[in-house]
Amino acid sequence: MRARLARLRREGAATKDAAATRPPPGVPLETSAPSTPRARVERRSGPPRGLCATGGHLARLGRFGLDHRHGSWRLEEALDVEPADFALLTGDGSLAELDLAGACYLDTETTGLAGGSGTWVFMIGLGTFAEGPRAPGAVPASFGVWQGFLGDPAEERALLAECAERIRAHSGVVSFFGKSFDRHRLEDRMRLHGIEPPFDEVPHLDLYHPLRRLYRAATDDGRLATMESRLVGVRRADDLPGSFAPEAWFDYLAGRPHALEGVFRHNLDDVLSLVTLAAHLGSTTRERRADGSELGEPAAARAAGVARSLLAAGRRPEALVWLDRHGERSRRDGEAPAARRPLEVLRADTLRLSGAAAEALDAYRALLDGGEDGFTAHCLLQLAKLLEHHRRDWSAALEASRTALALVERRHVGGEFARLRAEAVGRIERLEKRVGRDG
Amino acid sequence: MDHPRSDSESDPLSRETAAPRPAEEVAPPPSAGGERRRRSTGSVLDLARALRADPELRDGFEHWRESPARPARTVALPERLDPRLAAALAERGLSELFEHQGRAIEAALAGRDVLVATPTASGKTLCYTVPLMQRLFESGGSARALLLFPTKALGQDQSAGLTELVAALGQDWHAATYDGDTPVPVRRTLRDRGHMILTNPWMLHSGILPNHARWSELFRDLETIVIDEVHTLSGVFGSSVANVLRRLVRIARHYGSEPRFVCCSATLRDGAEHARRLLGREVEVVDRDASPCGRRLFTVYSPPLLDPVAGLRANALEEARRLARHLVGPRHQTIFFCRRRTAVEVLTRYLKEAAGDLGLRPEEVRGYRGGYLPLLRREIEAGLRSGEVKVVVSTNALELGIDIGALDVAVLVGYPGSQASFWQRAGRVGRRGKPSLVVQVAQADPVDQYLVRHPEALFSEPRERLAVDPDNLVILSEQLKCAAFELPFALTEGAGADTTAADVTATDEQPRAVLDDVAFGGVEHAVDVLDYLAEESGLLHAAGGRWYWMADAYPAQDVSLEGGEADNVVILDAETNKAVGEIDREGSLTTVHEGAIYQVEGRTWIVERFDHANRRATVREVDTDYFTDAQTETEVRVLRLEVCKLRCRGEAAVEDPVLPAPLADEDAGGPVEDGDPAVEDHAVWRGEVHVTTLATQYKKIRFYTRENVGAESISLPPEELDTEAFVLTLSERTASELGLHAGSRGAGWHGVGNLLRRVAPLFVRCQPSDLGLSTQVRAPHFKRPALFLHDRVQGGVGLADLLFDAHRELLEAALEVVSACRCRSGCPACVGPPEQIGAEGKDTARRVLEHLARGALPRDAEVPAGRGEECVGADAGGGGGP
Repeated sequence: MRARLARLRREGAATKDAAATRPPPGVPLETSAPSTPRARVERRSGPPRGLCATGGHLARLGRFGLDHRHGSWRLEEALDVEPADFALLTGDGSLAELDLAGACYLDTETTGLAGGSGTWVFMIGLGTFAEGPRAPGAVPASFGVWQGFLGDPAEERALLAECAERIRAHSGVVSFFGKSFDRHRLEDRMRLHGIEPPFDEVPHLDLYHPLRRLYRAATDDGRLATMESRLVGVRRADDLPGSFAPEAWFDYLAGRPHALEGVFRHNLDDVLSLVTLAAHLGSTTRERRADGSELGEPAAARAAGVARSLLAAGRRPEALVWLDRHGERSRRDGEAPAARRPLEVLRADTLRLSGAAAEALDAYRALLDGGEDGFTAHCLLQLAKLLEHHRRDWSAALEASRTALALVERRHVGGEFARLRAEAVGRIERLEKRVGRDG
Repeated sequence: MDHPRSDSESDPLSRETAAPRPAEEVAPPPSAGGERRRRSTGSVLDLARALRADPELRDGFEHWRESPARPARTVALPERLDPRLAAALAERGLSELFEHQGRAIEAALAGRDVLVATPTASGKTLCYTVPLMQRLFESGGSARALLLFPTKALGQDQSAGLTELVAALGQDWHAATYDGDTPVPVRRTLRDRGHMILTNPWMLHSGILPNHARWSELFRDLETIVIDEVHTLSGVFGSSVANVLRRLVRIARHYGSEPRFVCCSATLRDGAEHARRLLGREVEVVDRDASPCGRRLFTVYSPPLLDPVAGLRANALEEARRLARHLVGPRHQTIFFCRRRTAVEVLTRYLKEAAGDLGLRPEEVRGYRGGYLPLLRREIEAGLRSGEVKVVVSTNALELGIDIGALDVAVLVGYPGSQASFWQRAGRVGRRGKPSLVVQVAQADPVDQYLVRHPEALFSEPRERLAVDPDNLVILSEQLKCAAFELPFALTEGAGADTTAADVTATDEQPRAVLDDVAFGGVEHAVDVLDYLAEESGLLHAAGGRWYWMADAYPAQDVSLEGGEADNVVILDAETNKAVGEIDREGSLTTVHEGAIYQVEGRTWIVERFDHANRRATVREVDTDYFTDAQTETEVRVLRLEVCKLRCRGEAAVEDPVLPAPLADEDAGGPVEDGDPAVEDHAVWRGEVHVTTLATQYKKIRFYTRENVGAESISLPPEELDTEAFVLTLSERTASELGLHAGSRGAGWHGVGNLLRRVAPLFVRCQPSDLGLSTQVRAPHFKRPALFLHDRVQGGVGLADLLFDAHRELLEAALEVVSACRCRSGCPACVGPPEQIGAEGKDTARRVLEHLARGALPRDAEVPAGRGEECVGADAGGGGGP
């Protein structure tokens, strides 16, 4: 047996843990960490500094003044926002009354992004303006951050129980990608210990999706690091990439020198960014910060995103206002006509659906010389529709339809081809009958 | 063992009717036209008569057998059943149960673990559905169940059945399949509200268990685990699944439940033993089938010998087509089972084309196999149930419990490889009160040919041993990774505190540490493996007698239940960069070395590059007139011998053979005295071996003419394998007497090995390809002729053990095959072609087998000291010799 295990060891050494080096499945959060040279990561031995042990687990506590600047924003700016924006931009009505002063700001560090009940949550950052729900009208005095830390796997239950209790004491949760990730990791571990997870009871604002919807086009990706630097001016110095976090914890548990100090700092920065990004998101439609200054760039992308959100909420007249703003801003920014087309087509469609036939006709006509693409075909067909039903100019409608068909057949434009083609053919058939009957 | 031939006494047709019809009436059908009408009369018995009367075919039927109609043995519904359940059953015509169903249901309701091992169509489904429903009534809808099926299709089929029953009971319980096809939004509902979750071992392994926290509702109330078709759980797959079940039990325990098992299976040789290895517990075995059965005819058909010298027989598929002339028609339903997918397509096409002559419409002939779209499969299944489909040609896809109703005629083209499969397939025919017919068409293969002469082997008690070894170190360590990810492991409290005084030998060692774990606690090497995973792999963190998963990984993703997958070589087309195939590690040596011709269904590619390290071969499609045949050298080194049985030359009279002295003696070179009763004749062993396979060169061989058009060498690193082997050795003296040392006759020894490997599936559930063969006329370790059959899985999954147990039966069957084969000097249907085993190979092999398969059985003997374990390095410990 010993010999067999020894052989197994030899075998194992060759294939040693291919699993650990496998890239995690597509989670869009910090998956492509820059290859920071190991030498740059600061390591030290012994337990992390400033930990206090209470209730059977470890935590680090931090407190910040309301005017603490994180990047170019102050924390207190989160106390003066329009919660209606959260509902509009996420499509989640339960966030219409979200009180950022009474919410907690959650970010966790885990041993991997692949998920599964075996993924540890070894650090839980929870920021809050108030301990517990805020009395109406009460003004918070500071911002506190509790960073629960799993110093020993045997303490996990106590740590998670404390975390659940803290979350439950707040009126909302703010996170970045937390609805898809952090929440599930915590729930898995809580259930494993028989702790009732608190998440069903509190509204949850996940900043990732609305920010991505608003600013994705203007930024490289939807990552937190990108958003915080573009929107709220955060520049991190010597940040430890999130992908180094599991290793830091493994090192610590194994008694090796570890980079946990960097993980604590990284987690703290994440929590503070949640506050300022929430403040930013809550200022979207008024486009001004609490002090009255302008929200800033990228303003064109924002206009498009707001318009889309308004359309999704069925608010066409307001959406048209934002679509017009988008047009102005993108022209001002010198954006290429081709890049502007999708939103211009959306504007024309919105006009048509709002019953502004004449304006829609003009809008579609203006879009016809943008190139031989699916948009042109779409515009031609919409034009034909308006010409037929509003102008009753059947021969012009027929001509537009035929031009559309010819275009579609000449250029197989995307996956839309079949649908556009069928629409053109149907319209031509009907129009030909009409023209024949009348002429 | 003496097998009575039973041809004449069980001839069903001679006793059939008072007025046998004249042969002219059943002459082969001439032309179309009124064919459909003409064929619309007569019963299955008439078909059998027609077969026997056909002058072209009748000589091929080597054996006829009839099993008479058998009435059902029934019992009343258990009194404990909820009246609503009893009423629903009665409404479906189930106002009483078959005896075996009654027993199984009683046992399950009493909270015992049950294995129901009865044939297809004996109503096994009811054995678990009734207890599940009853427990749902009794628990007020809280009892939950997890059901495992070996295929997705089966799970979906059963889910529909359960849902129907629940609807009939008017309850708000949910049965749903959870597999790769389950839409994500549905999954959550299912986790929280599914009473009966139907899934498969893969999904349980990589989807459910690693995410157990999300399934906590299910695990809290998990009362029953149903496993269907447990006879399919053997080999690497079965051994892996046994560990997945250990993981399942420990997760359930974590959430506070102690689920019981209800297992269903085809008839098994030793169901209790199989269940013990698979589940690690004793189960109540219910295996006396009490369902009724119509009169059933069996026949074994052997294709005519085209070239007796070369042992060449007519192609079985062609023969099936000839048989079809009699066996299909508009009045009854016929199923053909083929071994390969391509065979299904070819035969389906033949039969569709000939439909008119057979009195059928082409659309009444259907193919069926894995790879057809689900919708199409459902349509064919429905057609079979309704009777619209008259002929179906299938792979084993229709072997497992998909509901297609009962058909009339089954034609098995080639022996399906196991007795269980044979009966599963045969079980597809036989309607209540109507006769049915099963035709087994034999192929040119040792097992098929053995069965032609020993058809009783099909009908006797189950013979095959199932190999399951959940403690295989490789499988165990992979599964322990997954288990540790799911929950940490801990040692029992106070482990090591009390050392038993009696255990004198272990005084200087730590007392054995034992895991505090319901499932892995009793596993011998679990602690060692966990230590290894912590210290060497760095995947676990060991602290305070506990092991915690400590890696950024999701291990189940990388652990395959079939084993070896991660090591497979992908074969990529250089032009399209698409994969054209995949091959396992060992096979890659001979199949995708540079210069090899890789073939798939007639298309050929040449291998341009074999990236051995990255498991990737690049190929380019070519038109060639040759294929390649690579030669390998396999070296088997004995690491440790564990068990031995020995026969002495003076046999029979010796009551208690002393230890195998010659083994020790020959080292000293001392001659042994003739006639000494203690002198060894032959021995069989089981032990650990190290196998090195090196590809040396390949030959280019022209298609059809088989002319050798060149050879090139191969330079690839050798493949190494540590595994278990069954070993057969002859003493030098016996070998000389059998002529093994004369001239080129040594090659006959390899012929013996070929044949043993090929007949092994008769007694051990495996494919010949699961076994590696190596023969040596003078093996270095034994200094005498040795024949090794090794398990081709790293670490072995128990095949060697089973071969050791069954070795005498193997030898007897091998002797039967070689004696009866009509080839002159070896053919693929017996010891192998003469090019491989030499001109006198067949003769030598027969003599060796005659010697070994007759006379006294070898008896238990001690493994000689110093022979047992070879020193494999300083860290090996424990057995360096005296």
